[in-house]
Amino acid sequence: MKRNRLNLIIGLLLILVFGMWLFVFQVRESETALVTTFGKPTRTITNAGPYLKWPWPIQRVHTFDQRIQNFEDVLDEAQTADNKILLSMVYVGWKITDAKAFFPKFSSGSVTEPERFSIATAQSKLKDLLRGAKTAVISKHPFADIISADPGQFKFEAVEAEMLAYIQARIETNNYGIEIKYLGIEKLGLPESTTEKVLEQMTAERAVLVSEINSRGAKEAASIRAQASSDSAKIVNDADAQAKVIQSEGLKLAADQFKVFEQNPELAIFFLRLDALKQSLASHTTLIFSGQTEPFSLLQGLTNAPAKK
Amino acid sequence: MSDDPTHHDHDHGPAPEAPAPEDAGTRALSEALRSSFFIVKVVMVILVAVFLCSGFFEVGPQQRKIILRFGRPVGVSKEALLGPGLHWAFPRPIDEVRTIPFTEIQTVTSTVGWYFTTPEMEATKTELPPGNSLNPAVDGYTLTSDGNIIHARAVLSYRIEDPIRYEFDFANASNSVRNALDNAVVFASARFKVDDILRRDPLGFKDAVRAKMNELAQKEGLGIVIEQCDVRAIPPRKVSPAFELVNTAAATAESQRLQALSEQNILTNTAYAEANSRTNSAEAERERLVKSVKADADRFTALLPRYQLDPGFFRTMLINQTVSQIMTNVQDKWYLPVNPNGDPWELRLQLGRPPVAARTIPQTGPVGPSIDQ
Repeated sequence: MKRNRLNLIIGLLLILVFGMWLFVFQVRESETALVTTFGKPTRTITNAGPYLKWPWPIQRVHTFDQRIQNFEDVLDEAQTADNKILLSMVYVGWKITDAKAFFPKFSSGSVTEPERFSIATAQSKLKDLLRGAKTAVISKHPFADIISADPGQFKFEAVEAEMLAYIQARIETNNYGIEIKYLGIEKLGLPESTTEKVLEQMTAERAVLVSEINSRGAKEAASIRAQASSDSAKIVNDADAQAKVIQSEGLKLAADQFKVFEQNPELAIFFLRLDALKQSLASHTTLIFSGQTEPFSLLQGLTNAPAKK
Repeated sequence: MSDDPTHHDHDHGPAPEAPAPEDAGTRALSEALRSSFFIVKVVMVILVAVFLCSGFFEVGPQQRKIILRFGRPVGVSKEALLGPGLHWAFPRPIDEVRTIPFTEIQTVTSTVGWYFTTPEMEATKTELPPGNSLNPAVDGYTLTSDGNIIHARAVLSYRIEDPIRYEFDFANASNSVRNALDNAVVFASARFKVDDILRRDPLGFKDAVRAKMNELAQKEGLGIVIEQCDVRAIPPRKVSPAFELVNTAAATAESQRLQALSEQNILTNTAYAEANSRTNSAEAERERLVKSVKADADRFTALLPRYQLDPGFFRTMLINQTVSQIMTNVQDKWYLPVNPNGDPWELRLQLGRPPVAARTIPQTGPVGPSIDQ
């Protein structure tokens, strides 16, 4: 009996495993699943977890990557509203939002790997849509809307938004079961023949710029020097004026003392003369005086004696 | 009774009837089956052990892993991340272990605006000669707001802020980050003039790229935090010499300006020094004048009474005292005695000559001594 029980358990386990293999499938976190019944889409699953199904050939489960797919298109030429040729390349982030709508539209052509094939087919369709969007949107804008230093004129992001709206509208109209999460311009360019002219123009502009810089440099230096001379002269002149004010204050203060001298102007003048004499003969002076000069008149008799010989 | 040939009868109650006699072939078959079942049991045990042990996995030091149980992450947000060490999960199909990119810093490079090169060419520092034009399918470049062309390359270093979102929201997240970086470079280039990018405001251009990249990371929900964004911009190689001339001219102009500023500083400082000197002199003069006049007044006040006693004597005394002082200080003194003829002396002064020595010129008449100055 014990042996029979063990065999029974093993048998049940095998049946359970086989049953799970036939009737259970799981959807991962990053996936969405579509269950088809006799080839017809009947159920969409977007949440991760284990689910039941009827075994093949009744039902079949198709799982798709639900993450945001990255797609870059190619450089395409488009004419701007002011008749300039602009090359552009954009990228989009897109994801499958409705596998039931997505699968029938993009799966045809592959029996073995319809899921992977459908992604490639969808991106091929996106490429066509993007080309149409770029041509339509760029043709409505002048070149300066996309390339401009003027913030008022610059509409780079608006152009991107218009392209996104253009594609979204067509996706919704055709019910592709996908959503464009974002779109951005990845590259802008000019036709090769135009780049040659642009490079020549850049060289010519640099030559003019060199001349301007040289001239401006010399002019600025001269201006600084002139300003410096003017400023320094002003500083000295201001100081002179201030010095005169200070000297005037000194004279005013001195004049207050002059009242003392009014007691005897004769004596005051005598003192002034004496001071002037001392100051003028203070040093490096050669003095010639006659015998009549006091106190040298004392020498008068002595010096005349030899002359009498 | 069991039909198992490996069954031992001693486990069961009373002794059965005597077994039928077995021939040698039956015994051999019984032995073979017993051995086979034993081997099968051992193999099954080993298989079960292998099955369970296959659930062990290791997480490296620069890795994080996450367990998906029936497709759902086990745990929420960062709690779901398994750090370095040994872990165990149910084997497939119950559990599935996924590796999450978790190195500290991720890096992407935008070369959409760079000229054609390869890693090998960069390593050997070689490059193709520049052509007269740029083929947009081969040579990357960006357009500037004044319609010119530059080459720009950006290297973005970032941290993954939300690894689960980074892994499960994007099929190829690093490509999405690179696309956003390309867009940021093209966007910033289209707003800046070529001379601003290359010469006047390269930091402004770099900041604009970083700001746009930040904005896109938020808008597109990339789940990253930007650590560093290095941007290098150069002119097209064909016109590079022309830009070098501009740089040289700008450097020269700047040098001239700095030289002028230096001279301005010197001039201004000299002027301020001179101004200070003049005002200080004026103040000193004022001080001296006031003190001098006060001293004169004091002297006057002190001597006035004596002067008033005998003005003549006072004057003579002071004159003599003064002459005495003068004579002490005077360098050369010439005494001219009274001409015996009574005529005045005729003096001749030679000015501008060093006063080496005084010479006496022979008198031809009433001529006094000559004085060299």
